[in-house]
Amino acid sequence: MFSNKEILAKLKELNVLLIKADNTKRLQTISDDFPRYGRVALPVNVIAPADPNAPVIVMPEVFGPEEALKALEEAAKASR
Amino acid sequence: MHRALFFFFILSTQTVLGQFSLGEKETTAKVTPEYSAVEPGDSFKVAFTLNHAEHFHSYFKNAGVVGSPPSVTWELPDGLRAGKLLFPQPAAIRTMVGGVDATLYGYDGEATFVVKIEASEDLKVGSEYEIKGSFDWQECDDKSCLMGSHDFSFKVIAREESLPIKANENFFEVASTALPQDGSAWGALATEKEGKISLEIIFPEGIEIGEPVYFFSTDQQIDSQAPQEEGTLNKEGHYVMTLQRNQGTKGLAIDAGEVGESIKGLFTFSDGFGSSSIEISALLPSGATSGSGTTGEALSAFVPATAADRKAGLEVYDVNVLPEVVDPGGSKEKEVTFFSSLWLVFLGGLILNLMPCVFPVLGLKIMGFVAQAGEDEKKIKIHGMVFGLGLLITMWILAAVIISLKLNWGEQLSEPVFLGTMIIVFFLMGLNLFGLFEFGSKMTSVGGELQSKKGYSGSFFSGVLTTLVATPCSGPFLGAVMAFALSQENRSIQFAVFTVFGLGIASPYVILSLFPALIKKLPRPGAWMETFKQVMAFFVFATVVFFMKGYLKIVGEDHFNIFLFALCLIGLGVYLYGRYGTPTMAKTKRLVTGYGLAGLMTFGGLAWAYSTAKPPKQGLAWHEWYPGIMEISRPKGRIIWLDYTADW
Repeated sequence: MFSNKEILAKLKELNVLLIKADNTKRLQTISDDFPRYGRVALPVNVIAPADPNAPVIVMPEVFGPEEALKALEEAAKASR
Repeated sequence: MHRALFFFFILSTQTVLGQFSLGEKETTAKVTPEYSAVEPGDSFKVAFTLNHAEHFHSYFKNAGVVGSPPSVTWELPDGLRAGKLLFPQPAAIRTMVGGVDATLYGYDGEATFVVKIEASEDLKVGSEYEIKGSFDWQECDDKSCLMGSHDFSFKVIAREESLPIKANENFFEVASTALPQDGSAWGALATEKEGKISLEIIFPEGIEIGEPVYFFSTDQQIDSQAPQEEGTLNKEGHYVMTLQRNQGTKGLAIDAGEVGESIKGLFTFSDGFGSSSIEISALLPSGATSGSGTTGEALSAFVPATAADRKAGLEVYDVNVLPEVVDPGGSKEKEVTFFSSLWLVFLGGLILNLMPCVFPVLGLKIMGFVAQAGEDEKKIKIHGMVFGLGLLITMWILAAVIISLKLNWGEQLSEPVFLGTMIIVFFLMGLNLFGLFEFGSKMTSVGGELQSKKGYSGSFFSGVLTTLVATPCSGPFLGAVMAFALSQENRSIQFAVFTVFGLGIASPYVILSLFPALIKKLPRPGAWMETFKQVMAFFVFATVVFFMKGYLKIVGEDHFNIFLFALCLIGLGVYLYGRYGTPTMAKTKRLVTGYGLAGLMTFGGLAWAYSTAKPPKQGLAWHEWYPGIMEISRPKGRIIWLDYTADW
């Protein structure tokens, strides 16, 4: 996902803040956090628009670069 | 013997790794029990010490910002009960949270947290109780946060009389000075007006309140981000300071504190000797204005501080009952002294004599001395000594060459290149010990000529050549010694390493020439030597694995994967050399496959490995998640991609 050139360019263009919650070590703090996006299992990808009040986009469990690009576009639109 | 050699390798690897600090310095945790034996009904303390990595801090029970304080998860046997975690005096640390200036309440440097363990009356005297658990904390610098965890376990024995661990006494004395002091003689009162809280502190006689003074709120009613001003003494001689109510700080995701009936916190001040702290709970009358005459009612009850309550006169000390503290944080680092490591280098030299290409020569050489000297024992001894001298001088020359090489190149060899080279050297050494390939077989004949010289000069050169002649075996050994020597900073130590290694090789010759009768006692050369060699190979591969761990950390996963394939290619190359590069092969096969193809693969592999011997490529700038990061980040008006993931 994060080696796709289009995605990388988009992330750069939109100045996306990337946050990674690595739960390899099964931390309670992380396990308690992601259920608020309505998920019970990893991986969970959440894209939040720049407008703090706009709803976040929760990505499906499995998605490709196309879906990711679409979601980023949507987030950009919601930001305006 | 195997063990010794294994330690020798591990030692040299540790020393090499120790030289190049791998990654960043990490925060370490240590667990220290106060008692080794406890009397039923008594209590003792357990200290948890955090040594923070540079720029990292952990949190006070009120972090001031979004953050979690350390905590302990206990696994206690029946009859033992742990109290709550006591926090030492925190500091108000200026930092950045999510790119915003912030003040947090927490710790940097070294901080010791204490828990009191109570032993019930039902403990069985003479029984051992195992205390286990994990100490967890969150640590952050101005950019990122980590979760740290430290598993511990130690044992305490129930006895007629409690036994403090003498060695930890000072430590606990110092640790307790950082904890809140006994506040039973103190009082406090709070009044509030328009978000400003006036805190009036009544302190016992003989105490002086000196700057710096700070009130660390523990109930989040006081604004952690507002600077606190110096207080004054009122006409009753009470210390009065004004604080801001916490109305919340949106940019830092700090919520407004719940309004309570009292203001709780840690009052810290300088008592003339150092910083002191008292836990305070000041009643806050809801009617805003309160008269000053309501002393009895308004003065709050104070949380009694945990004063040292160790029974007086318990100065018994029993070394045999020191509890075992399991500390994976690496408390063994300092145990290997320089002298014990030299001893292992000596053993390494000694063991070299057991290698198949050296061992058969050992007996023959001594027999040679005997033959030359006839029955003259004195001459045999001189031959032995001269032989040893030749060996030592060779070592010194070797040392001089290597040290000068290090002077010229050492600084240019980057960390991953050096470590990668070490892995390849040890890898080749292992393959060599397995018998996959050998090198330097021609040198044996060169040596033979020189050694055939008679007299003392013959013995001398025989000594010179013993190591070099035996390159098929000694080469890898020398590699290990070189690695060890190179890892030493001091040049005289590097010299000493080679000297001791030489002495190790020479010692059996010297001893046998002193006592020629012992030759008969030597085991016969035979198949056992081949087994010995191959078993050694596994120890060498263990060393390779050990190095790889560190190498992976430096170069990152992508480069490391390529390195592994390069290693396979190098292995195939030297295999082809071993298989087809021998003089018994037909000339074309030898030249094409044994030299050409083998060389191509080996050097190709080396080049490949070299090209990836550097820190990982810069990828995307991921920020590490910590609790509350979304709340802090979203108001900044950037699109955020939050990825919850795991490596499984």
